[in-house]
Amino acid sequence: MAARDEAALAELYRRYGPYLAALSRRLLADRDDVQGCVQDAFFRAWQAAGRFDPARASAKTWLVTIGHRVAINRLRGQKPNTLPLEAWDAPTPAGDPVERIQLEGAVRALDPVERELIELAFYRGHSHQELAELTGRPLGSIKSKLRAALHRLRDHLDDSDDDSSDEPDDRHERQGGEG
Amino acid sequence: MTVTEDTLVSYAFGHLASVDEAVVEAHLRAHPDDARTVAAYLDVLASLVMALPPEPLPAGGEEALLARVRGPATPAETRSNAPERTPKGVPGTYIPSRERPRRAVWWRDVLAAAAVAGLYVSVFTLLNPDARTARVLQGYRTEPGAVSYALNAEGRAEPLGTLVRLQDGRVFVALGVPPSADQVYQAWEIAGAPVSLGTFDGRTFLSAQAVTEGNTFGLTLEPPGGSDQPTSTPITLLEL
Repeated sequence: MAARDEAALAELYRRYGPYLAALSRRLLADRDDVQGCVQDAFFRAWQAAGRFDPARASAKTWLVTIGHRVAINRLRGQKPNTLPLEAWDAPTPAGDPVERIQLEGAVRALDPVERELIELAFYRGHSHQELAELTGRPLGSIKSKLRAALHRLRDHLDDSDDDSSDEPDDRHERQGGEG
Repeated sequence: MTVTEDTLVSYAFGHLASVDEAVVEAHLRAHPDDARTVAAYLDVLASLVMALPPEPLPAGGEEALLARVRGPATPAETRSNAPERTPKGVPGTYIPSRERPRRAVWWRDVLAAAAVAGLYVSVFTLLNPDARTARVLQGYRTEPGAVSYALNAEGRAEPLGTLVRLQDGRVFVALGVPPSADQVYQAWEIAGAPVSLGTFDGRTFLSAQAVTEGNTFGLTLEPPGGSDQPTSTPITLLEL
């Protein structure tokens, strides 16, 4: 895509667009906004493709991060209308089966509070301060819990990758050098 | 602004204001270890997304995207109703500020009104635990496919709380009161021997796993840390 290859853009859109749509769905209720977010995310990725560095992030992570930022910003614009909605969701059975199983194990490794905070922070875009207000927990506790949760997820996924490193896995191939 | 580990977490979640993001990005360029930490956080969060049920893309979406990239290189948003921040969470995504849409003057009034409303809600929520719980509960109740149930206790006219079974089978529970300081609530799925769904010491709980339809949900009061099997009579039982 960095070479302005429209076929590469289309391939990435087909591969990751459905997941960016799923992410946007959790952040936004309106279908038009969800599809608008996906379009905006890929458009922005296209604009920024020349600065993508595959040595520092996979195409998957790069695109998801852009998609998340786009949806979060749109959510912030919606907040006067969607403030009462605190919908949040953990990974549910779908997607790449290997990744899903690894993720389910990783999410189960979190304690209930960590799980709640991760999901409210990521899928609803609540800041540390907002999480403290929503959950009634001290701000310091929110910060440490979120940090611990990220580390625990990372450690669990790293272990899972090590365990399956001898198996053929399209996921690893996908994390390679697109973009 | 001092960049701490918590700042890096906030950055990964996209919670920072644009000016603070810029500070963090400058920090990351100078601190490779922190850059690797952030990259790892973003990888984890991206993995969460890749485990979501993919949502079908609309017919014509790909063609619309290609038409857009072939068109004049403007930063126009599809349906932007918010001041957009540049997606800068991953090295290499920075878009110069000159490409950003300019905020119209009338937005200031809208943002000021929103700030006042947000401040009111924040203060109200901060001071009112019932409001906090209600807001979270309301979110679950409005999830597509969610079904709500009252959690009743024998001999008690008022429900103890509400259970929402989500489309994927997980359950969210909101109770009227937290447990006493020396106890925790423990949630169980019962289809034979009770299986613990987890403990909580507040008023809300979300199960990590689905509860099978037709099985019974139960709540007991247990010592801190929970128990392998219920040690007290369930305070509520609900067949799902």
